[in-house]
Amino acid sequence: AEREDVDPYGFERSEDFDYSSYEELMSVYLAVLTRRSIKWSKLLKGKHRVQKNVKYLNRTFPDNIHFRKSSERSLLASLYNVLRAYGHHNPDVGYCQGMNFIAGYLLLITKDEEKSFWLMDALIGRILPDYYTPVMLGLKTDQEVLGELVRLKAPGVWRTMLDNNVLWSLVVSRWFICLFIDVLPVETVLRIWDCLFYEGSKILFRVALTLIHRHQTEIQTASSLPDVCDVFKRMTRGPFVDESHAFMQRIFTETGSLSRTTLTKLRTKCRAKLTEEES
Amino acid sequence: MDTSVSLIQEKEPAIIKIIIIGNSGVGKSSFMNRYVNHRFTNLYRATIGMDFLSKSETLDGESVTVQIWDTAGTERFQSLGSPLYRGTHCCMLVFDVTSKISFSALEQWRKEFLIQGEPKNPDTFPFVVLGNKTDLPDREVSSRRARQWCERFGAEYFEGSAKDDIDVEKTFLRAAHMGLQQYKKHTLENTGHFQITCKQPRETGNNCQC
Repeated sequence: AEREDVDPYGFERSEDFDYSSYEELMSVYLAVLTRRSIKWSKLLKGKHRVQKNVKYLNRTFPDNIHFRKSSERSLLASLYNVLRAYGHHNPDVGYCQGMNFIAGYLLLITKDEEKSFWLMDALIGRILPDYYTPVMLGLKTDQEVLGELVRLKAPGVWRTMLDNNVLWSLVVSRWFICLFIDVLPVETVLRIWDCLFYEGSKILFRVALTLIHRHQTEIQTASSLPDVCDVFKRMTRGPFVDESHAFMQRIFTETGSLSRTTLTKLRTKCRAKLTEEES
Repeated sequence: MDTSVSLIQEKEPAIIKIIIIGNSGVGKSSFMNRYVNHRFTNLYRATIGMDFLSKSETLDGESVTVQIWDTAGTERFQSLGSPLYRGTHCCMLVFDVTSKISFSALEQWRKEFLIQGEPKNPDTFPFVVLGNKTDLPDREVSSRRARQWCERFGAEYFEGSAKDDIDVEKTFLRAAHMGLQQYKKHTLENTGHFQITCKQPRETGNNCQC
């Protein structure tokens, strides 16, 4: 039986414990919890046009035993729930391919739909710019921003890209959309995500710049568009990225400082340029 | 690209660029991988962004490099992939014979290609239409219907299965052939094989304070 003189964490309550004010405190908190749980159950219900887009989810991680229809406690149903709930919650974004990978990773780690949902909301709604909206302006902006940063930090690479007509979106769109899922090894991705949640979207540039800077000689010796693309594929494999601890240290040293101010300025500049071009 | 480079490159095998477009899940990546790597797996993940594979072929005694560009079928990613439509020599429109929706979408895909790819000869540009997944029983689009649609704009129709390796090679070889004709007619005069140009001129002026 539950002992009243022990709190939910296991600490014994002192004799003068103020039960009535504690009760009051809890009733406020309980209301918050209830609101949240009602919100969650509402999100799971109701029809929305997102549903038709949330298909082919079995193509998320077909090589993962937890994401097979046949597996005993398949996460596919949870994946569907999280994505559908997110579509209801944020109709401007709805569902965009790539979000399935993100929700999938969150489920693998938290093993909890609701937690995955809120973490996803933190990522998409707060940490990342608008990567997944229909026009994907945030994504296009960040690809150009990366180009500008490469121009500053590895001008030779920037030149090579220009000479071979390699659009940044060709080589890095997956990096940004999937937040390095399926690009880098799982362990490394998770380490990157720790930093991403903690420090914000700047981390994505640190990782991208580190990969590019580290392989600048190879990129610069490429003499055609296919060659450049091959180097970009190769550089996401091998011991440099497998050794996740060393890699995470490198991302803070490899390319020197990267201030928030620089990033904000570049984002403003590139976004304005893109908007102008598209109008 | 300056002309001296293209003169040297004329000795090199011509690069025939084929782009594969169509709805999500129709089997674009599967078809490409079957052709290039002779493999099929159910384990493909949805394509994010784009990718390409190259294969050497001999067409009419001439060796060429067939460069196949695989794109994501998701509507949202179209604007990311469409800059790559330029410089294409043959466009492969893919649908799933068990999905009417994927077939009706081809009209829109074709239009989008012509707008973004800006071929010089939109009326005669070579299109190959491919109905994939003929190995499945519940067919929704008949060959007749597909052929009828193709006739309207002179596309060639093929159908087959990446899974069972039916008519994959044939389809690509025909696309490569048509691409080679397009290449000879319309690309050689343009110098350089890649006509993918950066939309935005990257100015060199230093107006950045960071």
